[in-house]
Amino acid sequence: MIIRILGGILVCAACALLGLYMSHRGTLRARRLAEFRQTLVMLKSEIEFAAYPLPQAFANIAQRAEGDFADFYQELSRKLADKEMGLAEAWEAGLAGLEDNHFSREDIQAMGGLGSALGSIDSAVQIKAIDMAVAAIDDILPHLTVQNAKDGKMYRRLGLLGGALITVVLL
Amino acid sequence: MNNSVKAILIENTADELRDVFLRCDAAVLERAREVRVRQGLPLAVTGDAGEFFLGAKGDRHRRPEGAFRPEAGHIAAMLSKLCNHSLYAYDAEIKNGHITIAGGHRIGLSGRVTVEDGRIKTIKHISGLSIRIARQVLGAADAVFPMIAGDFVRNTIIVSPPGCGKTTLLRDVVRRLSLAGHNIAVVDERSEIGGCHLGAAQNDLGPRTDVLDAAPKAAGMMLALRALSPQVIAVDEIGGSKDAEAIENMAGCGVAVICTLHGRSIADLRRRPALAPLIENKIFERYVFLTDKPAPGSICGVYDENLEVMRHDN
Repeated sequence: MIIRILGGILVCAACALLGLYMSHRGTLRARRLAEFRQTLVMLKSEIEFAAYPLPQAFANIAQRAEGDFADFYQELSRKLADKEMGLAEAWEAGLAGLEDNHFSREDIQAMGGLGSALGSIDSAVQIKAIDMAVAAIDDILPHLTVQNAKDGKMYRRLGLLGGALITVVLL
Repeated sequence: MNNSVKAILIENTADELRDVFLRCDAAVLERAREVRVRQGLPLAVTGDAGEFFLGAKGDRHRRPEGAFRPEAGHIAAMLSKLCNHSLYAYDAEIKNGHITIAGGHRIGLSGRVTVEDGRIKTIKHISGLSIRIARQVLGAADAVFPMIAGDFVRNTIIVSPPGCGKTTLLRDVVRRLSLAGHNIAVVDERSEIGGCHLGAAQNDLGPRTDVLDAAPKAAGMMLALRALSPQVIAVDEIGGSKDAEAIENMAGCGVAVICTLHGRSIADLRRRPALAPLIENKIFERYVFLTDKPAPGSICGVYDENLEVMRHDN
């Protein structure tokens, strides 16, 4: 009997944790988007005020960004400096690497076009393209916050109730 | 990083144009002084032995018929790579009709010029790139150096038509003077003397040389005088009245000036209204004339402040 009770507690705990993880996923996506938005603001400053060439601008952002965004910009900088591939190609390859990391396909699509808009002679065009990418993130974020609040509650409850249901059925 | 001409061309081109340079003999490209990439026109290379054209397989042609003809896309891709995918960062240089890439190689641009209020705003639809390969020739100044720097450094002007080695000679004079113990300020408006990349000179200009990269000549000379306390100021391709005025100021402050100018003869210099007073007032103490015969950098004459011949080769 003790083993059954222990098993039931474990199943309940596992389901509750799964519910917590699922509710947290949306929050992480929102946080990641906000962090990426911040790097785009940095990129805008690098182009608008410092007029650094993109490899240098990306390297500067890599020093200030955190985690895999630092790696994303560092890798972009290296690929451009080594003239390994074109800007649009390098940008898309970098974003594809970020997709597994809490970004949704919708997010990647919102930022994907930026690669082909950067680097032109007219810095105003690039600033506008960055502003549009930032605006796209700003559009996603409020919806995501509301959605996260709803889904988070649902996932947490679902985890707890699901665990309880499975335990009752098994007992 | 490989700095060979072939490596630079391959690195900065795409698709079929890249294939042309990939297939071309490295030794042929290594002797190139200029590569001209024009939309729809034969791909031309000028070397020590004159001009030739490159075919699609990297083969050399004396006549343009069998030559590869770059398309608009090749030129756009090349320009983007040359500018590190950051054309906006080269906006000021594009207005002046050229950009300078790492190593000091100068890329002349042709295309549609946009004018605003009578001033060139930018060049759009760029359809031609003229790549001038910069080379540092250590020892290029050996023959003239004793005439320029004896007990003191003499105000010197190096004169020749384009492509005869003025900048190469100036660069080596700077290096030699720096090695000899003079503090030198180089006002490098076109980034060709120092070949600066992100403010740091890539050519050897000696241990006592400061470079003001991309600085306008006249303003740069005044800035250098105030900020860097130089004994010698070096400047490339002077011409306007502001440049002449700045040189006169430098000479009045006891700072020697070494500069270059497009021209063929003393008569050419006299015909330029801004420079005539400098000649009359004997501001320049040495006139060095160069030719590209038999090879670029050949000295055809050196004159003193009274325009008397010190050396005449042709």
